[in-house]
Amino acid sequence: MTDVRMVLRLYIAGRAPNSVRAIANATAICHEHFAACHTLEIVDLLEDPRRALADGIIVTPTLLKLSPLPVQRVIGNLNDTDRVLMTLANE
Amino acid sequence: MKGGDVLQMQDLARRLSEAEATIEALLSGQIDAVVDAGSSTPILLSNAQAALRESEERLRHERDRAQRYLDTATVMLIALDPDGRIMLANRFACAVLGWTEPELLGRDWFETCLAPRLREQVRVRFGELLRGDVSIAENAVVTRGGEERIVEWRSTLNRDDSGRVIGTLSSGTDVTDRSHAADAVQAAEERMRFALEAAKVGIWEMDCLTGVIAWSPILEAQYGLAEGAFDGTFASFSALIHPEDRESVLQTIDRSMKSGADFSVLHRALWACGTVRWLNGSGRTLLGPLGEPLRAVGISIDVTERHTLEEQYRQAQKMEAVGRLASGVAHDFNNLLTVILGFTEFVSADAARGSQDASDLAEIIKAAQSASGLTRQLLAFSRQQVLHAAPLDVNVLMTEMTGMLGRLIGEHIEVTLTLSPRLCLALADRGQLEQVVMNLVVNARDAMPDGGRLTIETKDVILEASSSHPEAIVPGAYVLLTIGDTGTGMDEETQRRIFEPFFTTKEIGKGTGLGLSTTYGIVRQSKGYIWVDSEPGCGTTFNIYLPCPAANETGAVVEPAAVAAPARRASETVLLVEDEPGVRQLAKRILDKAGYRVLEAANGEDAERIFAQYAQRIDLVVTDVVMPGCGGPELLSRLQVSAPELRVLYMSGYTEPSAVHAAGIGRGLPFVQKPFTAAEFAQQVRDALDR
Repeated sequence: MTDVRMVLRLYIAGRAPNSVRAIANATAICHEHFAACHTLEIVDLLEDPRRALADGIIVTPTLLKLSPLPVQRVIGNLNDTDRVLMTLANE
Repeated sequence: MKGGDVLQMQDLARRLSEAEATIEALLSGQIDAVVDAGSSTPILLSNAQAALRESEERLRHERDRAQRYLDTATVMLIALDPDGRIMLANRFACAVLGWTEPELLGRDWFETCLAPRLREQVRVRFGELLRGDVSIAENAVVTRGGEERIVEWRSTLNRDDSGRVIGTLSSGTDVTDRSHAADAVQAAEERMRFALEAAKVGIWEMDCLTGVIAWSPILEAQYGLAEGAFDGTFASFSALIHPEDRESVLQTIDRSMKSGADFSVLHRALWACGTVRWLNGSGRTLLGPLGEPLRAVGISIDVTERHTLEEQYRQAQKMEAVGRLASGVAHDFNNLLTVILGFTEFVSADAARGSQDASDLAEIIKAAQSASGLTRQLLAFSRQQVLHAAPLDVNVLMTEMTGMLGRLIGEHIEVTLTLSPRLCLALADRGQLEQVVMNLVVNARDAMPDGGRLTIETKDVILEASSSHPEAIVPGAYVLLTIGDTGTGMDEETQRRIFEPFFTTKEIGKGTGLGLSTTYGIVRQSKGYIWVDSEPGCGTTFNIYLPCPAANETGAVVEPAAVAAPARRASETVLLVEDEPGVRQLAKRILDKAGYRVLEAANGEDAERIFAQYAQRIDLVVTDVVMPGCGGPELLSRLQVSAPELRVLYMSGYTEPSAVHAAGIGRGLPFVQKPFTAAEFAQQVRDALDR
């Protein structure tokens, strides 16, 4: 799994508390578990709402795993690291 | 199930799971926003919105507060990066410096805001600050307009989160005005110090709690101490006061300490070398709330010269008063002596030669003549006798006197005569000057009972006017006659009093106390000066300054008195004016015997009346100078209105200077000094008629 490039996209809403929390958690998880082999894109809905529609996002924060497939979503502030990892590993 | 169904089922399960997760997240408050698919805008959840708003407001509030602080601060705030570039400048700093914030940001602080002369020095200090030394500094900044302002800076280091130094933050206070005020105070203090130093005013201050006294260098000098030599103790101060003044000074200070009243005290300082100085000290004690002395401050002025002058002035006044008294007594006394001598001579002439009466009468005459000598001395002292001043070679006089002086002083005293080869003539009465020299030489002899050296010197000197001398000196050329001895010398007290009449240090019966006062009177009446210089054990020197005559006076040589012509029978008529009946009677008797016809008048008015009646027959007026009512000179001027050629002979035992000058007496007009002998008087009358 570490050989495969992990592509993630995190939808947030400005500096709202759960969004801030989610950014910090996502960044930490990527550094710790995917090291050099990942891409984490952060999309602020307040700035770019249209992209949320394209990805079918209905709430923030939402973490979207785009690659490797299948596409997976983790809803919330990403405090539960184990659950995040389990969801991302679910193929 | 078909494969598509499975996929559909899996997708459904995933979406359900996502929905559950979404709901769970919503319930647990982990969701910030929901996307409204219809408007394609995110709807922030209320708590999220509130939180967002709150956080934004907090940020804005903090930013505003910081900005407000920066803008309203009345100190200059300047942040510099480690290279000295300006990173922040608040509104006040901009106002002081004359730049806008955008203009300042990024500029080099040292190049922009400091005068070239200060740049290097301040840059060095900036380096020290960056190395962590706490910095409080004051330096001038230059405004955009070129004006310099003095700013006091307090600086700290700016660090990032990791503690790395990223620059400095300095707050500056414009202290230009304060600095100018401080300069003004300093300048005023310097002026004050200069004034006190120029006026030679010493300053002291005492801390009454510790007893420590501080003295200025001038005050130390006033007590004969080197700068910094005073140890600050009251005991040392007390020891420097003259013992005779100490108790009164300490009492005065003690009273001031108790009452807080200002004090002023005149006292003497006794220097270690024995010098005595007069000091006038003033002080003030500052009391605490309970009346206890806290601090005393004061000044001191050396008034020695003034004090000495005052003493000399008082002495001069005393001499003047005694002189007037003496001359008054001498006048009356001379009239009495004239009568005694004259009538005694008459009786004596009739007494049988070799009889007891003749011998007794001779004793009376001797005593009266001796008394007459005393009154002459008194008159000399009071400068009331008539001097016949003439140009005189003092060297010749001294040489002629040497033989006599040698006999006078004896062989145990060596006499050294140092006469200036070229000496101006001095204007003096020869006989009186002889008297002066005799008096001084006799005193010198008495001061050297065991032998010693007497020096007599002459030389020309020029005296200049001096305001520091109590006698108003007439500037000009003088002959200086110095008579010095190596005898016992005198202390200051004796020196002050030596010219007083009847002051003597000799045993009773050995001196009249008139010698030096006579000397003083003669010299002063000759328009000269006599000053003494003496110290106990070091001998005494008298310096006599005799004026040189002006060029037009040098030719006026007074002829020696003509040898008395043989007595011949007189036949002229004399008007005799004298208020003292005894003297008048005597003079009439002498004139009668000589053959004159005598008309007597007791005063000026009588004389005028008699003259009006016998004007044609009167050949000579013999008149007293000083009489009640109309005096001799005034009488003569009245009589001369009708008889311009009228001749006169004045007589007096008391020659008032004003009367003498008015009549020109002493400058060649006939004058006979009382007391006189019959022969003297007759001769003077004859001379006056024969002129």
